[in-house]
Amino acid sequence: MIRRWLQYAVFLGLLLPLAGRAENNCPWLNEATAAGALSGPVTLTVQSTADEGTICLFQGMQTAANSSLQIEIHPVKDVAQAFPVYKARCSSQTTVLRAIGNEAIQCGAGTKSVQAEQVIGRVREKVFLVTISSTLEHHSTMKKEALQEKTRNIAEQVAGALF
Amino acid sequence: MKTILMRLIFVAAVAVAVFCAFVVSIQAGSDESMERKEYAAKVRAKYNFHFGTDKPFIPGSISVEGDDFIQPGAFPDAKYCAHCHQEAYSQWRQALHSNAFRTPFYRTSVNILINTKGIEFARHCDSCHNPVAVLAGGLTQNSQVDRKFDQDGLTCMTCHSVQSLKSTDGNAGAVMGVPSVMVDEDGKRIPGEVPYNEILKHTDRHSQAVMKGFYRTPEFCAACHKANLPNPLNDYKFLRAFTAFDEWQTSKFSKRNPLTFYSGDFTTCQGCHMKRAPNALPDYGAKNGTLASHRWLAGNTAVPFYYGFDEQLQKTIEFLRSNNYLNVDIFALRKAGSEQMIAPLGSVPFAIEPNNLLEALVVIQNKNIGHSLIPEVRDLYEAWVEFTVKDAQGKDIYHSGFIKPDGMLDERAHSFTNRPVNENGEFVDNHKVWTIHSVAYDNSVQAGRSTLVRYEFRIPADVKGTVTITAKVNYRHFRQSYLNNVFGKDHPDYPVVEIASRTRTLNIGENQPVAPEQNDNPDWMRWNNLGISLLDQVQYADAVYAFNEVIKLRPDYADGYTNISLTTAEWEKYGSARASIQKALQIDPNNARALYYAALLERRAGNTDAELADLQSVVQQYPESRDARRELGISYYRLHHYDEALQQFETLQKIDPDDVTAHYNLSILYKRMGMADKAAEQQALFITKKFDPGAPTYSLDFLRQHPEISNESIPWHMHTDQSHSVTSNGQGAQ
Repeated sequence: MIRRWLQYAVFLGLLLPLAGRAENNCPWLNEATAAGALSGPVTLTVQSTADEGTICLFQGMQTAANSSLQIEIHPVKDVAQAFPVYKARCSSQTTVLRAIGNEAIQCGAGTKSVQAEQVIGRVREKVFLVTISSTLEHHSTMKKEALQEKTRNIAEQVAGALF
Repeated sequence: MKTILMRLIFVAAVAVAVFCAFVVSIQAGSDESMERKEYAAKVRAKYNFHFGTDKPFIPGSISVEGDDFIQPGAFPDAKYCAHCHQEAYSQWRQALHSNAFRTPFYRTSVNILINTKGIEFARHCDSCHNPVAVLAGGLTQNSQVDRKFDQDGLTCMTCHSVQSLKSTDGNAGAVMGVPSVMVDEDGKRIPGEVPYNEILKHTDRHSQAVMKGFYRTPEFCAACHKANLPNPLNDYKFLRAFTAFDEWQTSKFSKRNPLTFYSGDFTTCQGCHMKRAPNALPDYGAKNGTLASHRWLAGNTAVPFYYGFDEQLQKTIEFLRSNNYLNVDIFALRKAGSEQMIAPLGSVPFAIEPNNLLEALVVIQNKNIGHSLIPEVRDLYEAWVEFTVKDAQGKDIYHSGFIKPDGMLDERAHSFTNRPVNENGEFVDNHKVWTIHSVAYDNSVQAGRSTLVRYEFRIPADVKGTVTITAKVNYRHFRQSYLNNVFGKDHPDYPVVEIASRTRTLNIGENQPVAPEQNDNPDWMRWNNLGISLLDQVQYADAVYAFNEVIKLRPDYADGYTNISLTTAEWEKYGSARASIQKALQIDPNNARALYYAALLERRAGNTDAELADLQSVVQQYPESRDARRELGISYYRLHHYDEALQQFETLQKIDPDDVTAHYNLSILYKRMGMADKAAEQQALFITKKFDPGAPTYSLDFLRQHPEISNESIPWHMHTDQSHSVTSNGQGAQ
């Protein structure tokens, strides 16, 4: 009897991962578009933040490089106070962008080993950060200008979804 | 012998080469169609076929050759086209078509639909705003379509791939071909991009692939500039959303409507919105140094303002102010307590004194627009009359139609807008069109018609010098509350453009006639426009008076008598109506407009032969007249000439697929002729398209709760800041 219950428990335990697997979608960008930006297939993880925000992380599955596209969305109560805090994340000079969200800036977000570009913007009371990074700096699709353009395009997509 | 052998070898080699080329081309074509098949199969596996597996793009009407999904890569990028068409590309990039999807003004409302009902319902909107997304199967949950094409909206190869139109139903009623920029020697379309040098070698074959004669017709524009809200979208019934095409068709510019108040030269949509202009950038499509504009200049100042497309913005403003589209006429003054009008103002002497309570009659004529003011999504756009009375120092005596500090328009302004409401009688804000059940009022001015706006103000008792009155028609794209919905309240002020205006300076004391200004209408037309306005405001006696003034000035003007006739007919004074129409026909016996109204009077009098003859003459002169076809169909029906009646209503349905009278009569006629299936089809269409008798209750609920709007909904309302009290004998305000 106990052995049978144990068998049932093992069987149910094997099923649990299937039962617990939820849809893992980014509300503002689909995997295909992210894959297009990163020039290859991607995996996606979605997580919530303490301020009721969401982070979507698309990671490129190419073995030759680490590429990623991260989208962060944060609701804010006081835009005038909160937005500058996010803008301070820039690691380089900022460029004001026209026609992305209510307002947006573009800047670098990279380090010595990883180059990255980001757009930080806002749609009404939601701040968004779009960051594309890559270790494949010598590839034409991941040079600085290309990264900047990709980040702007994705930021426009994200802003459009937020409107 | 050797020579013959060499020749044989040569011929064989050529044959092999040709055969290989043939196989390669077949293979390429097969590769393309195989790619599409594989793509479509992948999409179909996860697509939401909510509206049926045979209707993948409903509630939109778009379809594509092959009747299957098509990969977005099949559409050449606009930058590919830009290699040879730099001017067209440059204009298109700043214009509305390329930005049709990505603008926040569109995304805000379509996102609400997606989040409320589901992305599959957005196929209705995106069939016109982003057809590539729809045809690629992108509008489904968890779509795996790379959406990088979104920023191009209506890209070059969406319009230039349309192979045919599906009547004039609208809602993207077009059949897209597999995009092709070149046909082969046999005229067969080659899918995808072709090397530029190949195109340049065979520009005729390039034109054959990307141009069709019907691209230059209004019916092409109607594919998207005509829209309805079908039952699958709103779970209610068919509702007309907008139709710039039908409005054009009933305007003087179409030459298809005998009933217009004025005549004009034939002008298509493209004639106004794609005028040829010199090209600043190289463009192989230019002819004699000019290119048909791909800016499609119209009223949208918001998109170029948001994107910083300064050239487009400037040209849009110039366009709005050009061409005498509207005429603003401060037509008359009337002193309180007097029935007498001082009119036409500027043409007659008059006197005003301090403390006079005056009524100003301002006539706004939609003079040269080929559709209504405001067309299309008028619940979001804002055109209004700003009326000011100032003293000699420029101080306001009266001001209606001002913009408040928060950017909102004065609620009591005369606005050429409408108010769609839902089943709870609430204003449908944010363009949630799927909730619309009725329209509480609609102050748009149809092409060729006029509207009368009344203002009341008091000249101050201590006024000195002159008084200046100005009436302007202003336009803002979009209304402030919609901009606030899109951006929140912290956004810059969006442009307000003055389209037309008129100012008159009045002396306190005696005023003599003054010379007309350049854009002023002649006096007979001023009276005529007043008459038209009063007719639309159901003020029949005053309308007849105005039309009689026209005849005094132009006794040879047949339309003057016709206008009196149609007014008195509406007033149910049929004797007068008959007398006037006879006078019109004496002046111009073959006048189609007069014959039409004569026919209706003949019908009333039971003179069937005359009725029939008149309508047949009208149809002969204007074969695409909806009204003539409809009435002739009714005439035949009443005579039991069912075959002839059927012919008229079927023709009417070709002109306007949504005509409710056609559906109704065809359902009866088909049934009588034993065509049960067709009868049932027409009956179903009639039921969904006919007016909902419950709809006015939603409108009334809204108007009850909004007195400032309910005033606007009364055609003969007055704009005033004067308080009025009811006299003891109950005569009402004086």
